[in-house]
Amino acid sequence: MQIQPYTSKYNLLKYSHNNNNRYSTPLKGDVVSFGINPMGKITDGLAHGMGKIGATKPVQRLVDFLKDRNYQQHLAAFVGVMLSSFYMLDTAKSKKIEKDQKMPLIVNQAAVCALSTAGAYTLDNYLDRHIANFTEKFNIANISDPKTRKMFAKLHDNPEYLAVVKRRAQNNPELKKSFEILDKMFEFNAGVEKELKNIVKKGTADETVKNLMSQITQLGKQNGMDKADKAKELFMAAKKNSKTLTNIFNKQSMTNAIKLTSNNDTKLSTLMNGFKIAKSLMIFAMIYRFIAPVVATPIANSISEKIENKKKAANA
Amino acid sequence: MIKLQTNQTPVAGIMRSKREAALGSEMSSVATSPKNHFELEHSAFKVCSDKNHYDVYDHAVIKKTNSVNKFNKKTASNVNFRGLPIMKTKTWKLAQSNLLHKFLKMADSNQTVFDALFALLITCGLRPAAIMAQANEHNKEKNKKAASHSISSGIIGYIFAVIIYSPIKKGLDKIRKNPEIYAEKAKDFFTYNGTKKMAASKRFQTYTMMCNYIPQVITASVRSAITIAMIPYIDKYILNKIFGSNIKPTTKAELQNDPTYKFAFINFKNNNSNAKKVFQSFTGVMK
Repeated sequence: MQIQPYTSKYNLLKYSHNNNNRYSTPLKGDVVSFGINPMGKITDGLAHGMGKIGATKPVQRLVDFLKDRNYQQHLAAFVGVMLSSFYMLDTAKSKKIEKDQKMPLIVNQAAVCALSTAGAYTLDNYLDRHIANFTEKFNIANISDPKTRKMFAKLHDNPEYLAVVKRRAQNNPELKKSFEILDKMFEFNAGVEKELKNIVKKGTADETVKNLMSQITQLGKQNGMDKADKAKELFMAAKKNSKTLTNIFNKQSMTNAIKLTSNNDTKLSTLMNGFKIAKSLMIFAMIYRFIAPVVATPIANSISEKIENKKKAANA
Repeated sequence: MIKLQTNQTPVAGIMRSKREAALGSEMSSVATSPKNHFELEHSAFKVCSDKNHYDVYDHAVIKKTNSVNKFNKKTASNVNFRGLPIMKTKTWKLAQSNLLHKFLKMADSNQTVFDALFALLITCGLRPAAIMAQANEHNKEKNKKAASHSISSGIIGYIFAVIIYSPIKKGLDKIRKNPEIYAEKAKDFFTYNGTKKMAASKRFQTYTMMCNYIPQVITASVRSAITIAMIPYIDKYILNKIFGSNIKPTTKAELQNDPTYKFAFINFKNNNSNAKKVFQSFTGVMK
């Protein structure tokens, strides 16, 4: 059974009579739902509305304009900075907040904003890499079937082992299915591009990698397909001649293969989903909602004190 | 009486008691000599290392038993994998810990509740507490403002997430799963005329990002206005009661007796100038 990414309040109540099995069917004549789900209707309406907006020409043009750019990080930073500047403005305008308390609060808001934005640009990449590594180990360690688990553990230690696994999968109809679509599932995403750029920077790149990167950087606008798709075509063609490229491909394919096995493994998919939620909460929420503001407070206090002292000196 | 399922797991292969051993004579008639006892324990630990796979494992029971099923001894889960370097890492052990599993299962089954509770716990509990812990006589009022900002932004953020952001997310999820129902006209655009799946389509990923961020941009000014407006009230009703206020009550009492303050609202003539002065002396600017 597939995991639902979101469990509504009503479902929670429905299933709460049996916590051990979250897939238990709801009781008949359920008092809670009455067959009506108000939240479901609202989201239905929203989905239809967004579908209609997505069909309009200007929106489609905007999407096509944005899709090949790495704007995500900047957008998140922009929203954060904007919200913080609104906070500062509103604090300055506020009539209820005491006048001598306004300045420290505004400085505090600015300090929190500066720290989190700086963190988003520097810390995120570093954390992402380490978390990705841990996630992979976590997923492999929790595969239910011991044979598959061993296979993936071997794959993790040595990405070249994928060739052996693929050969063996030919005899296993279930595995064969999932391994056949690995080529299709591969994506030339920002992570792969970054890794390749790093390799070129370090100077350990072979001729094929250098050629590929120069080809990809020269790619212009593609008609009817994403830039990433064209880059993938080039990557797949160059892969045969380069060990580094094959290793990169194998690594991503392994993650994809784990995803495929999780479709038939309820325990693994539950844990994977839980891990995804907990990861973003525990790490990112902890850093940007807790550590950054707490660290910013004494800094902001000292800055505002200096400003106040200067003002006093100027007045005297 | 527990019936044995001989062919399924190695645990089942190891008899629970002598009596059962006698009953299941056909499959487990081999009684271990003292020499074999070590072997039994050894294999038992191998099984034990695979805790995830078997929910119940009582190795105290297995220590007592002295019979083993040799036919079932080598099953897939009983093979020794200890040679692989990844399995020796601390991460591997942590990943298989039951405590972590329990926590993650909770996170998976109650996603929204978990999400909201954690965010509220941080913004309304941990963060104000940590900020107030740094406070001394000198900067108490400043830290109190920072703490009440944290609480009010947490509450408002939660309300906005429940009312606006999370329904939009769910709506987008619905489009992704059933584009033919929710986005009839846009479907061809998102799937590149059916050549790509919704989840892999860059166009849809971009659209998702836009739909998630644009409401945040639009609501930012309202959100901030409510958040800042709530700060004085949180100060007054929550933080002042816990941590006390530095503003001396005597000043307030004096002001109450001051006729200009008391009747400022009916004194239309000099209302503006007087009220301003009173407000300033009240807030401590005119020290």
